[in-house]
Amino acid sequence: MEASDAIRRVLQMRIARLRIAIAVVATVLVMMAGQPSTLGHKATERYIPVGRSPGISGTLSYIGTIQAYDPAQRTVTLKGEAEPVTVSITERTLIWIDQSKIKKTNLVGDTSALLVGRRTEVKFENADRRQFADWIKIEIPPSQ
Amino acid sequence: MALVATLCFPLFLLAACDDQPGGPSDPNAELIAKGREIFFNETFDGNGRTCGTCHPAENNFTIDPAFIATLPDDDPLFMAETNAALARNFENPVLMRALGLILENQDGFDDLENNFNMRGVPHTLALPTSIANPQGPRTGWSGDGAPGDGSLRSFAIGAVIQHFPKTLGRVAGVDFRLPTEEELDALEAFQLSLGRQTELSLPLPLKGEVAQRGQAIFTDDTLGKCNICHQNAGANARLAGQDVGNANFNTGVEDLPDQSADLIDPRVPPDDGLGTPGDGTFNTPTLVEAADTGPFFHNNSVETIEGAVAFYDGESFNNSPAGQVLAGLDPNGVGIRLDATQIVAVAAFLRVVNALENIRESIALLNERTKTSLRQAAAEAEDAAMVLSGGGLHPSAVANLRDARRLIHDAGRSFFSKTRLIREALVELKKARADLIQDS
Repeated sequence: MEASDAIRRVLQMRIARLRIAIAVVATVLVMMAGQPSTLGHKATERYIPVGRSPGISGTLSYIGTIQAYDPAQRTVTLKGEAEPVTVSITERTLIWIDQSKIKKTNLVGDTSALLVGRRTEVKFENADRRQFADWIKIEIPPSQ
Repeated sequence: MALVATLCFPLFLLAACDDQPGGPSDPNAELIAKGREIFFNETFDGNGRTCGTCHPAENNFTIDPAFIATLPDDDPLFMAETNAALARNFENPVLMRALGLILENQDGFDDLENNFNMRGVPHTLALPTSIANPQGPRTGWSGDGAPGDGSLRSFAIGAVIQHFPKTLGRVAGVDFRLPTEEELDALEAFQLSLGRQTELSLPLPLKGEVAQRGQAIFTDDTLGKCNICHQNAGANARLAGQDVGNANFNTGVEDLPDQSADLIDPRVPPDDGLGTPGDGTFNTPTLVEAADTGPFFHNNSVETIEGAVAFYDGESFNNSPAGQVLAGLDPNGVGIRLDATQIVAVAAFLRVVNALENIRESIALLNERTKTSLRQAAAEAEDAAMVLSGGGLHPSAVANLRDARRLIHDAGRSFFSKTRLIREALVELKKARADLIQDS
């Protein structure tokens, strides 16, 4: 009787540990699955001028001039060579001011820089669902 | 005069042929050659550094304090010491010279004084085996080293912005120029061509008893557990029966006590790893090339391969998220527990696989027969000898390797005996290999 109790206790302990292990592994896998599909180093992205982001510009981004900015909806509409797009700006969206045309350092910006007529590049958060902006680069033209 | 010219002409032809790449024709050979030229010579109109400044071929495409100590003071690596515009917040010269650490601004450039990381330089060998992940390529120590699409191709752009600028304004077209699409293609092809192109298949039929035992511990998922995250001593993990590719883990390296960088400069902030803000994870490096590319871990915190293996027996690892996962998988709740002799055995295994890779590479380079390839072949033979002798392993193989290095060196300087010397060097290399592993 005591022997069977001991075996039961050992089995229960092993099952408990197995559950913990499964939970931990599942957590790791979920963490990994939750990571963005593109692990681009956004810090240096700031210094890349509009249209020069490797593997992004022209594929995962849209380049055009700002047609409208809606501060209430936090959306910006761009018109480029393709159909105009409207994207939402989220709390995660990074905004940079591209001053390379005037030979000045690029800056971290905000929505106040979204002025109609400015050439701008928007990288979408997701290649398939293009409604949210991952980052936005707003170019300052040479004349300004 | 005409007679002399006639007699000498075949010699000139021979000499001219000597530097042509040999071996089977690679369809990418032209692109790789272009990439090599860019990698070692192109400054991108920046501060004078090239990719090869931090990834020199003669030091396994990485730098360490011993190599740094051989460089002249005007080497572009020491830009922060010689260029007033880069004197502050571009590098930490003390930590660079003492520990081989490079300054990175992973989490942005807005607070250069306080927001930076000090990291070692990962080698660029065996990249075809070590950067693929289902979520996208992993480059650099935290796996997110490249801008744009995060690919190896894009990595060069981030590197130019971080390490090549003339000033900290980092203005494209002023402080540097960005690589063109063609240059990115060439750089990628060259980097992918370096070193091992395929994974090992463990277990190997090793001859040395200690290395054999080390391999057994390495591949035992209930003891060493190394093979879980370093499948076949590479950089890819297999978790819960799934291949997850080149993964990131928080192994607790940042929690190690008494780290050299902190002892030398207490102002160095902790490194938060992948992402902004970071999640504390770092990318898994390949181990085949480890023994001759130390110091180890993202912050060069451990000098020896034995120390690197011993790390996994310590509290920092076993209390880390990765250590806890392993403990959760263990019937006794143990992460990794190894005794000193077992640590040495695992390190011996890693030394031997590294030496075997050096020998493979040296033989391949000898077959190319160019001046550059002979120089590198000699360096590979010397590396193998150093890696084995550093662990007190295979003394007769060490002697063969030192002979091979000498013969290759002589071959590089000989005109008439080159072929014979290369042939003799190949014999010595094969003898050394035969001492390490059974012919498969």
